[in-house]
Amino acid sequence: MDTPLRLTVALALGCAFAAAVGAPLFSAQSAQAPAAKTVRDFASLPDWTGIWMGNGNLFDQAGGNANRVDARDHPPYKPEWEAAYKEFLDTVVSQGKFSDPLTSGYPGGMMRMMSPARGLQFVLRPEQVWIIYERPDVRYIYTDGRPFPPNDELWPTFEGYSIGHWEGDTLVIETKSIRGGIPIDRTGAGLSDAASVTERIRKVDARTLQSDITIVDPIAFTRPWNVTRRYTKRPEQYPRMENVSSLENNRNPLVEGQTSIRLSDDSDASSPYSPDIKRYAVPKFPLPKK
Amino acid sequence: MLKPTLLIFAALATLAPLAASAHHSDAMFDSQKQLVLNGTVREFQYTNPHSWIQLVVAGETGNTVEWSIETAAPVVLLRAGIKPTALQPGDKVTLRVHPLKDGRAGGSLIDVKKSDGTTLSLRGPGTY
Repeated sequence: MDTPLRLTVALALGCAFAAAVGAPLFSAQSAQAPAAKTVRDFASLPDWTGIWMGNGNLFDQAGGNANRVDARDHPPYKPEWEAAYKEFLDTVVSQGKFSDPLTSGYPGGMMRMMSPARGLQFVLRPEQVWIIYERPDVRYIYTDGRPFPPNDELWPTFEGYSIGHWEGDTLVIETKSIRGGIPIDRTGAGLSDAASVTERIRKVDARTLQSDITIVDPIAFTRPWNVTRRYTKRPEQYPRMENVSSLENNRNPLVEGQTSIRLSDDSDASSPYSPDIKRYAVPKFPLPKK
Repeated sequence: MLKPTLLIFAALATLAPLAASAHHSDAMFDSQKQLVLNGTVREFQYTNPHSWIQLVVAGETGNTVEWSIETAAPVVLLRAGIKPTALQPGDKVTLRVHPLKDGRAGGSLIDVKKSDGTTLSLRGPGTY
């Protein structure tokens, strides 16, 4: 078989394959039901482009410190949760021994990632909204009209399971199945597995998104906890996101529950940076030797 | 021979490093103390979750001590205008730091003064 003929045969086979496989696919697509009514038309979605910073840490609008318990509203804990929290504050946090999961490379999780010290990006699409944090966190908000999955298909996760819908230009997000016990800040305050969260996020001016948050936790709380967060748009023309990975060059390992520091000092025998500082403590592909 | 100059201030809490609080507790640094280090940059590790300045400081007896000075994540530095090229090996710089409480050769960066007089600081309007 000469080359032109081989090509012709190949093309013919290819077309036959496309006809056999592609045609049913196309017809299946065209036969699909129209999108659910709640799905917004792409062009009608509001403009939330940019990178949005939390003003201050966690549930504090004033710019307080995540290490401080008085820097935000106090969670409306039931007495037994309040007692456990107070004991944790007295015996762990105040001793500087709080093992922050973020420090070890874990995601911030809900609610922490929505009250960030770093940037958030809101990617609006008709069928989903993605909320991306400058940490290993992404939230997938399903706005395609789906209900929550049945309970036997839900399990606790860092970001929970979120469905959303638009009320005008307000995104309303319902989240449940959040993994209990994730600290919402560096004081160690947490929620139970039973917590559910409603967020109503809207743009109140060109540089401000406001989220009115209600956390309902029938196990831990005496009443719903209402918090308002604002996110401020970064001023740069071309702002930039980066995953601030705690694993890339983490020179602050936890030692006996306490944040430590790896120095270059030769006398620091525990330091993997001694005597030569490794730029990254990351497993590497063995590059060819020069 | 330059010796690290230890300056102690009573009310420097507001100068506590912004960067450190984002990733881990800054309890190991003494936010009440400021240390001024004159030295030579060995390496600027522009890395997550913290960047580090490895600074070689001459001691009194002719020996040198390498200091590890912690600062913010790259994206935070970038937002403050501090690029990966801001510090080069061999640069002579003066660092103000909050030293480690345990006295070892480490600290948390307050700011950098380069030999050409420029200052690098996280406490700019674009940083939080």
